[in-house]
Amino acid sequence: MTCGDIDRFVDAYLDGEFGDDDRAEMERHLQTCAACAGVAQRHAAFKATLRAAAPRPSLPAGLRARIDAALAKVPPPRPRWRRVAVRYAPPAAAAALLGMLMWSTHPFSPVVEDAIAKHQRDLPVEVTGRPDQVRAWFADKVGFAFRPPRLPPNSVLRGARLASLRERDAAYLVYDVDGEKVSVLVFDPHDLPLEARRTRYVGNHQVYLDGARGYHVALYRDRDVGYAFTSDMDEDRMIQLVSTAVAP
Amino acid sequence: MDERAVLPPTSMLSPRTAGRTREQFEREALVHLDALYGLATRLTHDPRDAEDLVQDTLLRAFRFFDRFEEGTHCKAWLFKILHNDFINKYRRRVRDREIAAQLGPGEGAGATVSHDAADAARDPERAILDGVLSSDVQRALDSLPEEFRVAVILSDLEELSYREIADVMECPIGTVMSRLYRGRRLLQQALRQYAVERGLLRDADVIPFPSGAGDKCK
Repeated sequence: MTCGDIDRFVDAYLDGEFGDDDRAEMERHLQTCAACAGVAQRHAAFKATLRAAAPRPSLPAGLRARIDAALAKVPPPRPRWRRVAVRYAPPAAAAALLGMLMWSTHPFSPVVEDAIAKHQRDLPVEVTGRPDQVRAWFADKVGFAFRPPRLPPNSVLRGARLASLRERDAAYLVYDVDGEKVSVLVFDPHDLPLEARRTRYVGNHQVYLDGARGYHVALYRDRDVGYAFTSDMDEDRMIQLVSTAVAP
Repeated sequence: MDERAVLPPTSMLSPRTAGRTREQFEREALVHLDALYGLATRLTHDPRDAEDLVQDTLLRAFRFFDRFEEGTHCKAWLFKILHNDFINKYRRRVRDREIAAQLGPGEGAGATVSHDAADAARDPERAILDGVLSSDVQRALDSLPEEFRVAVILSDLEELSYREIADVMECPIGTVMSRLYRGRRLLQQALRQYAVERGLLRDADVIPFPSGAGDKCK
């Protein structure tokens, strides 16, 4: 550690990110160099001041009550099986427990991961217009028979762009459904395993449901085209959207 | 895989099980309500948006509470959901509003610490810190580009580790470090500027903060 390093390393040192060896080396240097010790001190004082002086906005009256009321309306999430099971399961349930563990650590389908990643990235669209115009735009750009999903009238197509999914062409569409963003990835599902943690039947269609990081994903196949809907809507509303899309 | 084969549907959970989950959520997540609201306010700059953002975050966290990995830092997990939600739903609105308003300077309300000008001349940097107002800090934080602001808040105010911040902001740790580095120095610069404006510090007293080690130190 030399004086030239101080500016670069003082943050990580004060933020407690140094391992024991690096910290000891830094401290040895600070003990012998008053100028660097001064720099470290000023940074530490700055951190402390920031923490002390930054206003902590007080919670608006009623927010807690509103959140409690809203939570009460949400169906309770599945309990945290791992802990519940380990703590309460009698030994006889060991086999069932093993099944649950395997289930809960089952990796997401790559399609689910990709759909969420694309949804989050908020990429700019390349084409806007009515669904039939967007369909025409994609006609010579993707190697499968692209059809936008049919969605209910409260859905507005905001735009679309070319995308890829597992190194194959895909179309990425963004909708606004009652003010909420829903993205739809349309792809060629040939040889691509559609799988998820749960399945539901909507009409004759098998719909795969999954989620991560606060988003729900619904996957299905309709006449040789694959669709992945991603949104932070609850699952029931996703299912409603998908039912309109697959209605004959 | 069909969940019915493995787990009972939610509707079959006993009230006791549901209650326990709600209690866990209370204990592990709802205790961070203040911190969530603080970050939401500093991201949206709008109390109503901040409330909506916090409520959305907690509802989503509750729905996905079974995915929260026990033993990990619940506050960091909640910040991540909040940050994602902000980017998806609010960021564009905030940017539009900011462009429209072309944010003027802050109001400068709040109590200051009394200050002796002679001290300022002796240790200008100390003077800045002693004379700092919470409204200055708020204004300086608001002036930071959003990515720097989030990194600084998560580190200095919420004491998340670099790894946790990287996870919340979905970026590499190196990026967190450079955002912190630049964010903090911009903050220091802004606070110095406010001190000059308020007459706590003369322009001549202003020295680069807190660099200047390299040249004095051999």
